[in-house]
Amino acid sequence: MLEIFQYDFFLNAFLAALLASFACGIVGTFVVVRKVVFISGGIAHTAYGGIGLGYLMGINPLIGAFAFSTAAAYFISAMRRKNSSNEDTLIGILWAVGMALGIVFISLTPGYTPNLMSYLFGDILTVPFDDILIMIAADIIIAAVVFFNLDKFIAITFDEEYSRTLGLPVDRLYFLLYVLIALTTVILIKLVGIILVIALLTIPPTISIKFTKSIKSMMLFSILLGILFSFLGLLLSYYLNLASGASIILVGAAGYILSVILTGNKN
Amino acid sequence: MKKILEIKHLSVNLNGIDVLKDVNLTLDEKEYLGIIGPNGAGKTTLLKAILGLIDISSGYIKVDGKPALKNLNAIGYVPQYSNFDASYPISVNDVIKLGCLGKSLKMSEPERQNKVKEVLAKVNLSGYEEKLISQLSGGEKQRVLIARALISDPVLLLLDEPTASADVKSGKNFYELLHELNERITIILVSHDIGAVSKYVKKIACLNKNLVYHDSKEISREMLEATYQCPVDLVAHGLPHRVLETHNHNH
Ligand SMILES: Nc1ncnc2c1ncn2[C@@H]1O[C@H](COP(=O)(O)OP(=O)(O)O)[C@@H](O)[C@H]1O
Ligand SMILES: [Mg+2]
Repeated sequence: MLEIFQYDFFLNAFLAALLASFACGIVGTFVVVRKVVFISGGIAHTAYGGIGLGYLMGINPLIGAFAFSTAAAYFISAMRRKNSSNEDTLIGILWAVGMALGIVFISLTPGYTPNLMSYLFGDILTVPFDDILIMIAADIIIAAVVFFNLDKFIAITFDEEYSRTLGLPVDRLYFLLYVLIALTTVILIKLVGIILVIALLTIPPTISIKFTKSIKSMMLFSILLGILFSFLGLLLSYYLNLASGASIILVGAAGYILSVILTGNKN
Repeated sequence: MKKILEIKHLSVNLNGIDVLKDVNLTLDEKEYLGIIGPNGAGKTTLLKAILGLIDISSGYIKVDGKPALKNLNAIGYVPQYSNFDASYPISVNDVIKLGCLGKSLKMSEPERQNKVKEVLAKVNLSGYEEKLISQLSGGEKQRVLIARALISDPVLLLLDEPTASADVKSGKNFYELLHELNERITIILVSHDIGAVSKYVKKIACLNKNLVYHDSKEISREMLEATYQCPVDLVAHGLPHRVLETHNHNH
């Protein structure tokens, strides 16, 4: 069974899965406890516009993805600040416009047009080493930001109004958290694709919250589950010749169902 | 006497509606004010204005001699509804710790642990540090929120319609707890439970857009009528007698 590790691309794939699980466990924990799944979806899907622009301009699509997701993170936090009543609709529009721009940019790109599917659904077996480096950098930034702001992130996600009475810069911290979601998106695109980012971001923490008693242990357990799901998914995709992203998500979904059975659905 | 709270000509306008109009209030050390008023009277808004959670349209608010916004650590706040998600994976210890995240409160970890112990003892929840917030009863959660408010050593404690649940194992009444805290801290207690409030507070004010405040514990017929805009007998039904003293001072 270990024969698959002889292939460089598989080593890269497992490394990418490891790096992605780390980011997902940390950032996904906040997404799940604060219930900002739709916002995360908006940030993640807008990335598609950046991927298209990256191709059009001949730069790494992941850089473009990060720029677009960060812009989305900025707009969404500006909306939060204004307390706008149609926040949901606006995020939905942002989401769609981001993806439409991606399609337009890619059709404008002369010559070879890349396989759209690989960014939508992930193509773990073609992760170049450059992308691994970007993922490592993104993981380091996520780890550092959360390490230095853990208490503040817990404060704003647990009780936002009270955090304001402490004089915490709540809006800026939310923007920072959304930028971390953008970074995580960048890390996940290659592994599971834009469409499945939200699933990998939320499934492990949704299981973990049933078994853990603090944000830190929830993060740790989510990381381990992420690694388990993505490794199993990768093996499955190799031996059954399935798409890697979809396999990972289906393994995760099976894990979630198992956890519901085990805990008697106390959620 | 040190002035703990000084509100002058405070008006608040939310989306074109005057919610508070020309509110004036001064509280000295160790005062204990009960604010009553009907739903929508602006009680929560007044507390939020003191905390800088909403913008005020005119007037000023000083806490302990400084503008309230520059002195947030001096105010402890126990909100009306717990806005937090009770399923959040967080221990009592970590919730209370959040209370000292403010800028001017740098504490070492052992100092903070001691402080958490101290405030938990004050609210009769010693030994609750490691319990999850989701395992607590409503009354215990309320006490945790009071402990969180106390950890920054506030000079002013604001409580918004606390539900005085009686499920505490020590049996100590919620209002007795506040009474003890009042030995050191100025308290504003917002409530619609006039009976319960009037038994413990030192002064009472009525709020309905304007604050009617006589610097005493007496609620006059006029105060109630102005505040509730309905015949007093309806409101006063069941009130302890001593609160509604016969009204004989001049307006
Ligand atoms: N954000 C807001 N925008 C507009 N009106 C508001 C807002 N918040 C509260 N109000 C209004 O202000 C009034 C006072 O509300 P509130 O302070 O919550 O009353 P209370 O706490 O005394 O029940 C109510 O009429 C309410 O509808
Ligand atoms: Mg209220």
